[in-house]
Amino acid sequence: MAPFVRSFRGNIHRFLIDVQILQYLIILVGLFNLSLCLYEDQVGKFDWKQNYVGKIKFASFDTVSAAKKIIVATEENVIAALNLKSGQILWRRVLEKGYGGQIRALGGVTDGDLVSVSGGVPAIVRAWDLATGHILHEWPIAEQNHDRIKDVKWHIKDGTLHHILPIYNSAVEVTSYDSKTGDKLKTRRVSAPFITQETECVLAAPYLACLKGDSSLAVLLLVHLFDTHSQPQSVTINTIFGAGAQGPYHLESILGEEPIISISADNNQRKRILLVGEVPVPIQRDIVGDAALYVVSIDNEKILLETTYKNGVTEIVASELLTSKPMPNISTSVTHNSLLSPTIIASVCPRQTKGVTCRHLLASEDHSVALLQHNKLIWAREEALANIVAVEIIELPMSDRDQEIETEFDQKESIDVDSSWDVLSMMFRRIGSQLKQAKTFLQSILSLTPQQSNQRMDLVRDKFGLHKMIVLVTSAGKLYGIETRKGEIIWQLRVRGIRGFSKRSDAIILYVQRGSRHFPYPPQCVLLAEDKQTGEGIVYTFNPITGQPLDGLVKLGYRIKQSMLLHVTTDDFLRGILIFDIRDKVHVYPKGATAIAASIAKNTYIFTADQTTGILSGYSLSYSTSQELISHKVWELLLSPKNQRITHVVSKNPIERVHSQGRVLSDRSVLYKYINPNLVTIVTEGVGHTHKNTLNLYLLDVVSGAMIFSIMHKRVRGPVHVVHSENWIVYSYFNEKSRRTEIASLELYEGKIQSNTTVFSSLTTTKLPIVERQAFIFPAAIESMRETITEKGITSKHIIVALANGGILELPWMMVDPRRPINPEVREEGVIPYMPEIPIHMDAIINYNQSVFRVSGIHTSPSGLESTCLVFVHGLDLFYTRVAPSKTFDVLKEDFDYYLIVIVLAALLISSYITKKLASQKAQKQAWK
Amino acid sequence: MYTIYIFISLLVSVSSSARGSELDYDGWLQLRLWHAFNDESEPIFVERGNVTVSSVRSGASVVGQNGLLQPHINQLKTLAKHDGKYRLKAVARTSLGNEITFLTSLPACYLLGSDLEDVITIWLDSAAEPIVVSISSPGPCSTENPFTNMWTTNVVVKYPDGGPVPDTATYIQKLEREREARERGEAKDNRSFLARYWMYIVPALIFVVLSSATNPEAGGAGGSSQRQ
Amino acid sequence: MTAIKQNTKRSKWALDFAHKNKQEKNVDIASPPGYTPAVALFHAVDSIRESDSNHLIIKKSWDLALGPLKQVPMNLFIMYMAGNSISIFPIMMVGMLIIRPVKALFTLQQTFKVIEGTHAFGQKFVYFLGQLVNIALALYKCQSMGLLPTHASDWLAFVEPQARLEYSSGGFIYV
Repeated sequence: MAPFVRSFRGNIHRFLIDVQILQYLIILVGLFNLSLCLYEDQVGKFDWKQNYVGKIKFASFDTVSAAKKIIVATEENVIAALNLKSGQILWRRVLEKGYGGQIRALGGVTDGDLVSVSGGVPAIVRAWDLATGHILHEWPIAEQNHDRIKDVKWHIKDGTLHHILPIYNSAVEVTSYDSKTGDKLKTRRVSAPFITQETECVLAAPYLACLKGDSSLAVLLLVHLFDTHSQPQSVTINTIFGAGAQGPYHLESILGEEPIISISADNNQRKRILLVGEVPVPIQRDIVGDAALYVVSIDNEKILLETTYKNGVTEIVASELLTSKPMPNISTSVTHNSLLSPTIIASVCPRQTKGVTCRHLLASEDHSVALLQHNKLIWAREEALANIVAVEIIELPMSDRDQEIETEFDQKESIDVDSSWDVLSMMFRRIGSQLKQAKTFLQSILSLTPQQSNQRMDLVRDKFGLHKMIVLVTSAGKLYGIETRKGEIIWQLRVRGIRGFSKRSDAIILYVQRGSRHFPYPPQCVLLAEDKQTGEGIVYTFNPITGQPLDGLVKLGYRIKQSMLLHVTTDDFLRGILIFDIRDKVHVYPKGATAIAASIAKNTYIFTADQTTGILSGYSLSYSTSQELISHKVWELLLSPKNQRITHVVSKNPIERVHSQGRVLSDRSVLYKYINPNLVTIVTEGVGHTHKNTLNLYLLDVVSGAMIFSIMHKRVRGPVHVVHSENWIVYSYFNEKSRRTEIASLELYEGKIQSNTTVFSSLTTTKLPIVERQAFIFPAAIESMRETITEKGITSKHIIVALANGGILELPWMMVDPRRPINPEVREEGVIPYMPEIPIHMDAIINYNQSVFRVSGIHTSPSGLESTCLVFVHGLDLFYTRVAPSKTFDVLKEDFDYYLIVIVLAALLISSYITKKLASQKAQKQAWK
Repeated sequence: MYTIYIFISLLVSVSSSARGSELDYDGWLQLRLWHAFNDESEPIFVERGNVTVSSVRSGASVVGQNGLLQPHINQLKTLAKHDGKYRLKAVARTSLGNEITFLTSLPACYLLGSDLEDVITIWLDSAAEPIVVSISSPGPCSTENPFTNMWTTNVVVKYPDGGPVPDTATYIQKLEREREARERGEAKDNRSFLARYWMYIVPALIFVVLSSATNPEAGGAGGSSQRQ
Repeated sequence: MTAIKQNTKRSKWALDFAHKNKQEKNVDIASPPGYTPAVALFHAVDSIRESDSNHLIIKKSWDLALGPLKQVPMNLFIMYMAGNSISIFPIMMVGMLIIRPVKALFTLQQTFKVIEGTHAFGQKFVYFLGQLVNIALALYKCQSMGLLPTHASDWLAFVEPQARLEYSSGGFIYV
């Protein structure tokens, strides 16, 4: 023993002396630290992200670099490079939001560099590296005339940027800059005395073409911008069209490398092309008015491509430009449901060994982008998803098998049949469905192919209710259904001819009238929007699970002022919607729900807020009869637009439940919460000199019209984001004085005794609640905020905050609790001491390294589990994940060892029996002694 | 010297005791009231009276109104029977000369139950302009005749509170105090050994004494048996 | 040593005053004056025993009845020692403090079965009262530990959310 130990010790000694191994050992031990993070193979397990660029404004093929790609610039102020073969985003640069980042010109790709001009005052010119998207140069252009921004035209060629501004009644000013360094190279004025405010001018580099006059005596004037000695040429309309052309005329520059313009006549019925040059050459051929034109060059020959769309068929007809000879080997015809009135925005036709293969980049009316190669669509991108206006998350229906069992409990069938007969039929139905279940089980065991059902096999509700369908409405009038597991687009639906409500910033209203829990009745969603031409309201119903329209588009014939989803259902489980039109009349959709609506009319109130007049009014429906719903005004108040402008009207989520009615204090008494379901938060910003930087927040009860609380902040400005839930309000603003973002929170309490334990009536409450308030400093800029929501409201609430740096933070409400004590004498449960700053923990960022930029909204939805909430973030990108604010308290951990427990239990039982037996035997033996 | 101090402190205390008014402006307000008793959706307004608020900052007001006539009380009772609402229209004229119309309503049975006692609340915004005029009544819901036909009106003027500001100063002070307390705390504990640990020594002593007290009989008996 | 030796070799005339063995029981020694024989002794013992037995029974039954009250100081001390925290030892102590009186209450009839007599009801009552006092002590201990649901916060989980009477909706106007 001893010699063994001694040699052992000697070995260890030698081991430790070896420094190299010691170092490695230290490093190895140092790596074992407990880190709460995501494993790499967990990325994408519970969440997914999709990147988009937006509606394409400019595009060009990059044929110069090694990797072939397409450079696009979009309406969302994004410059991106798309992979030619797959359409995936190689790199993407998001410029400033709104007016300051609007891309005005993109060019120079054919010369190997990418130059973009964006913004207004001043315009910023940036040069980008084509392969990686890094900025190489950046310089501003100061604009002299701020109100002529929209008349400025840009031309980028050969490393020079030309700034072209027509000055009315005198000349065209052309300023040339070096596109990389910004040095002003030349300024020249080309005389063009015919340009006035009404002339329509288009740039067909190096010419500027202007149309003067509208009748048949209209004349087209062409100015060469770079040649100071040239005179403007004029071409009359009759030269182009021949006789008999009527106005109004419209000029358009044709995309392509050549200076070619098209003029449409006869109210866009037909158009003709004019080649601009030393001698303008009109092409004497009528082209259909709604064809999109593009000119591409193949082997130095100019080919004209006309794109027309009719009945789902996209036809591209190619013809030689000068001779109008058709080229059938390049013309194609495609039928694909991704394309809707597409236009070619970029095209390249390289000559290869087997001939000419043309690649066209098509942008459709519904913002989707597709690459067409010969007559095959290589890829398509749904860019309408960069502009989502309404989101709803809907439960999936149960599988067919489960639904059959559910029909057993269908009330309607079994209600008036003699019970003895009915039991028999129910029994047969149950046996039948059980046999079917057994059959499918056997099939799955023997792995035979299951028979086709009319829905996808995996699009059913899962055990925990985490697999749902996200219904998205985009501003392009396109609807999508995306399932939550992988983010796959299940269905798309186009609604033509609608647009969002102009006063609600183009929002389209989406209501869920019937969920998927009522088996024989299909789930139904309804859209409220405006007709594009008349501005009157339209109602569009569809099935959110299959994407099929139900009643289709219904034109209402009146303009909608406000709408409300009823909280009671008709006999077939459909919730009607009340539509409040502009003359204060109330309509119900569908008409059959009028009776139900009239039955609850006495307790139903609608309120409206007008931003321009500052008037808020509340209406009651109490004088309604079962045939007709009548509204009358019960309260009205005014937030004078001279002093303030209403920016937010935020009410609570209607499906929210509050579980605990009070808070337990340290002395074991209860502070009851003031939960008013009719409370609305109104945020206004001050206008005018004296009130410019004030923020006012009002809490209004919209049933009685009484104001509950009001608060005012001085020296602050927006953007303001408000979260209103349960009995608290959390809002963020920017403090001008201290130049930081702050979050303030309010919490309403009734007091130590409840005024009424059974019902809450807005009309009886005369006692105002106690309001606790506090403010905190937040160290990042906020883009959007939303609270989590669960089915029963037992889980604590976390606020999902989208930060401007691309992260999404899950902030526990406990951190912004206004009752956080500054000097804690007694520690209360669930209350942490006050600290003026809210720290941003990196592990509270739920989208780890999947940054999401330009977040425009967050939508949260309860799942089947009480502990889990589903979060969907949309903006320029889409991101979906699930959060568990109180950790997953209602689920066993994933690696719960069932087997171990069963084995241990069984072993203990057996051993206890054996021991009992042995003990009784031993006692018996003892008794015999 | 002292008088100046006293004067300044008086001034400061008076100004701080004055109601923390976030209202920078003061003004007067005049409300003309009409009410409607009819049980239809279109209200027919009848003059009720007027309210004059001389200073919005202090909230002092004068109400001038007549009592209710019997036909109106009967209409009120019909309204109460049908759960209808008593509507009040107020046209406010401010010191800046604007005329603003407000509408508010109240379930009629509360008025009857509280014997025509109501509270008119006027909310102002940060510019001392009225934004809400609302009426409420504390009474229980009843459809009986009120005991009196005279109004008991209370007028309350409210304006916005100042918004909360993150309290960095107090927090920094607290940190400073804690730091100082920690630094001072190190040198505090130099009492004698006995003074620090008497709490533990005394019960032990008591225990020893008690056990020796219970033991002497046993000890004595043991000793005596041994002697034998 | 010598005494033992002497004992074994006793002379027949020596009188041993220390031991009274069985042989000498029959020798009749005259009883000293005033000493009454066993019969009389019986009598006295009888009467004493009788009165004693009554007395004793009553005494014993009263002891039984006052038993719980005598436990009170010890219970108080146990309560004080157990402390107000919620951990295994105090809970065990409080459990014991409650269960013992309750069990005793249930076996009240059994305990008093042996006792008959005039004071039986009174004693039972006192015993009952004593147990109640013990229970009250245990409840007081529970209260000071915070286990009794006396405050509003204990009933908070059963407070139903208020039913909503009026429904409302709305927002910015659309057009």
